Amino acid sequence: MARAALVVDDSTTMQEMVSFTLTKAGFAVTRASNGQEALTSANAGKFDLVITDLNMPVMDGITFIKNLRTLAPFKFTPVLMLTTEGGDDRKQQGRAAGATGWLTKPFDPDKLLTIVKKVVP
Amino acid sequence: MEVDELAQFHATFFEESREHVRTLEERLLELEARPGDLELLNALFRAAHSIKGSSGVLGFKAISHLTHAMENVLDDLRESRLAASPGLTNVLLQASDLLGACITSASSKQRDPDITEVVAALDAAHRGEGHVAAAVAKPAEPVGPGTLDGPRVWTIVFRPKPGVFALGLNPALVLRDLAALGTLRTELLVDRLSTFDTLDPEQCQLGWRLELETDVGEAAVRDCFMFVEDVCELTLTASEPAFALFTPLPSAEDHVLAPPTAAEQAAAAKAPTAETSTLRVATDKVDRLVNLVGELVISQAMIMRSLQDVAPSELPRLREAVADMERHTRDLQDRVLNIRMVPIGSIFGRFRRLVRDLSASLGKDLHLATVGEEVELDKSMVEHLADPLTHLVRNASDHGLETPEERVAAGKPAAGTITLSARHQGGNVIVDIADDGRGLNTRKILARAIERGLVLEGQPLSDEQIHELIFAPGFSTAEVVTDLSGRGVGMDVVKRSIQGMNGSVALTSTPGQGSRVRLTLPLTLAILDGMATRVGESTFVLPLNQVIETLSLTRSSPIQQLLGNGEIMTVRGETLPLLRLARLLNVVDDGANNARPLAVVLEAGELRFALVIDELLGKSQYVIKSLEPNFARVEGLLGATILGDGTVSFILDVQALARMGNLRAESTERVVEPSASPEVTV
Repeated sequence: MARAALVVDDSTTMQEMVSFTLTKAGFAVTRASNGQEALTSANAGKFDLVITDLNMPVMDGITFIKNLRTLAPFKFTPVLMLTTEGGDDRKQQGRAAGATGWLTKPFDPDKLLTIVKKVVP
Repeated sequence: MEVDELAQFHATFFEESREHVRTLEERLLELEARPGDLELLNALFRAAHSIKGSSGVLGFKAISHLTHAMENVLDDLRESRLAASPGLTNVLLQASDLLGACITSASSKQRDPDITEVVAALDAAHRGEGHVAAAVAKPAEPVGPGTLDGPRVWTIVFRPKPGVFALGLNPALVLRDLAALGTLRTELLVDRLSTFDTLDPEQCQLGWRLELETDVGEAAVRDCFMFVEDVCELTLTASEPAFALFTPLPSAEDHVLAPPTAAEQAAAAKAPTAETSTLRVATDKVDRLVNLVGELVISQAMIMRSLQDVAPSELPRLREAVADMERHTRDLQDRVLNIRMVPIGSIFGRFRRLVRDLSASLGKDLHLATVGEEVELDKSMVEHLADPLTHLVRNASDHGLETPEERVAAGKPAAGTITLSARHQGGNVIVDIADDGRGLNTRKILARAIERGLVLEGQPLSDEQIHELIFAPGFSTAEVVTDLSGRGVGMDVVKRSIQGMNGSVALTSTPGQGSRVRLTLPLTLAILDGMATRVGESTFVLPLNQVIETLSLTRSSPIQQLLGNGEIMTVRGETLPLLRLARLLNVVDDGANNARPLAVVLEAGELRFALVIDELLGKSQYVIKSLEPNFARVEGLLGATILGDGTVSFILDVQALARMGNLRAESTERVVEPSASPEVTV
């Protein structure tokens, strides 16, 4: 059974790059461009992995993660946040909100998969 | 992944970044009016931030460097560490221009423009308030025994905190990663495990004592704990290879309470997003769809026609079904065409910057007002509008509007206003470019036209006719060619490009109060409301918006022959040139066999003429098929379409017909002396 991933980023480039990499790794990818959209997707489907940017319009990544963790099916789902270098306080905020791990931008597809493998069986 | 594989994201990146650059520019201009507006600053920051992130991933160093510097300053503004000032806005605008240039050069694989100066200016602003540049010092790599070569044995005690499952963490994965580094022996620590009746399966109460024999360094070992380090108790000690303290257990994961993930049952089914606001689709995909819907319309019409031959008993049911299909097809057509529609505001916004720059360089106080940004037009039309509009806005700024002193002297407010407005009118969109400047100077225009040999001296012309002259090729009234005008684009080019979109241009001007150029445009280029006509055995479609009326030649006034080949007829006192379609296109018409020949009065710009045809077949909507890719260009034809009976018919280009008939505006009344260019025809 293909695994499903939800990719949340307001940048289409990032969305596409992350999606492409995950699709090649065998994930079925759903995309969203902000936290609000992502929550709608989360409510409508099931995902084995969520990757989210933090700085987004409408609903930012931290708020999204907090909200996601309140949904029963996502209580234990791995959630990776995309952070920028030096964003330690953001990492901590994300952790407090329930993030599983982080990925520091810029990253290449190999790095992305390495990190994904750390959190998805 | 190879560099090549990343290249496929370039197109998206460039497109997206250009959008962000436009956002930056527009928002920066708004920021001048509303400094400190947090909403604006956040949008600005996000735009810069987004480009920075993607460009870093794709390896566009100049772009990511520049956006990084911009982001710093924008963040300072956002956090009130810096105050917005015109100087700072200028630096940011410069940076966003440069960013646009960087994107262009990256997309055309050229060398990056020099960004050092602008980056230095941004960095200076960033440091300006004594705020120390965020030097992102990487923490030094921990130097442990692991940096030494040779196999070592690591003894690890790993106790995740109870809450790790709720963070989506799975300790078993850490063990798996460790096992991949060498030989791993595990011992399960159950001392903190509560009794069964109080066991909370959502809490992690297990721990592990591990022995890892590996030659990788400490960093690699710690890397396995990357995401759990802060939520576990962890001790690592290195020693030389020793006896196996523990017998390897069959599988570490067997002893892990797997977190009850919903993912287990997760269907791979993609969840449809209910509220997706926009979807980026390649234009050619939409074009194919539009084409396909066109085909559908045609086959539906063919079915309708062949219904005539069906057994009468079957007819009512069939007719009902086809009527339903017709309704759905039309609905589908509307919706598909709608995909291509974008708000015209997307180009209006660009002019804010242009007007701002013009203000500065012309020493005038100019303002841009926009109305009707939400009016939608076909995407390709919006793109084609950019150049003519730019020219018209430039013209208004350069020639139309006065200097503040002149304005005040004329009793007007010092600031001049250019208004861009769009609205629907019937099946058309009207775009007005108006200014409240001095209006057209008819005397000057006339003098220039005479000088250029466009009209004869002493020829009586109305103001409107004089205004029309500025659309003649090569016409320019600017006494001094400023760096704005005189770029080789004249009003004639504006007129031609608008007409190329099946639109028209009209100009009105009141001395002392300003001028207005009105563009009338169809909503889309793909569908045409037309009138089918027959000439001999051929069917031709005329664009309905250019058809004024139809006359029976047997009942109207007689046709008069002019010297040479010209023919004219009089319609309610107006003399119209008469053209014969058969003659223009070299086809055979009914000639004397037709007892009731007709003339269609057509309008091409300001020019009216009558066109002789054999029969009118009716009005309908026609899907325009381009001939260009497959056939050489034929003068007089706009394109082709497929009729209900499946035959191909040509759509006529009324402007071109007038040209082919050697008609000139009001040629029967006014002698506009043929100048070097016969294209003065409008």
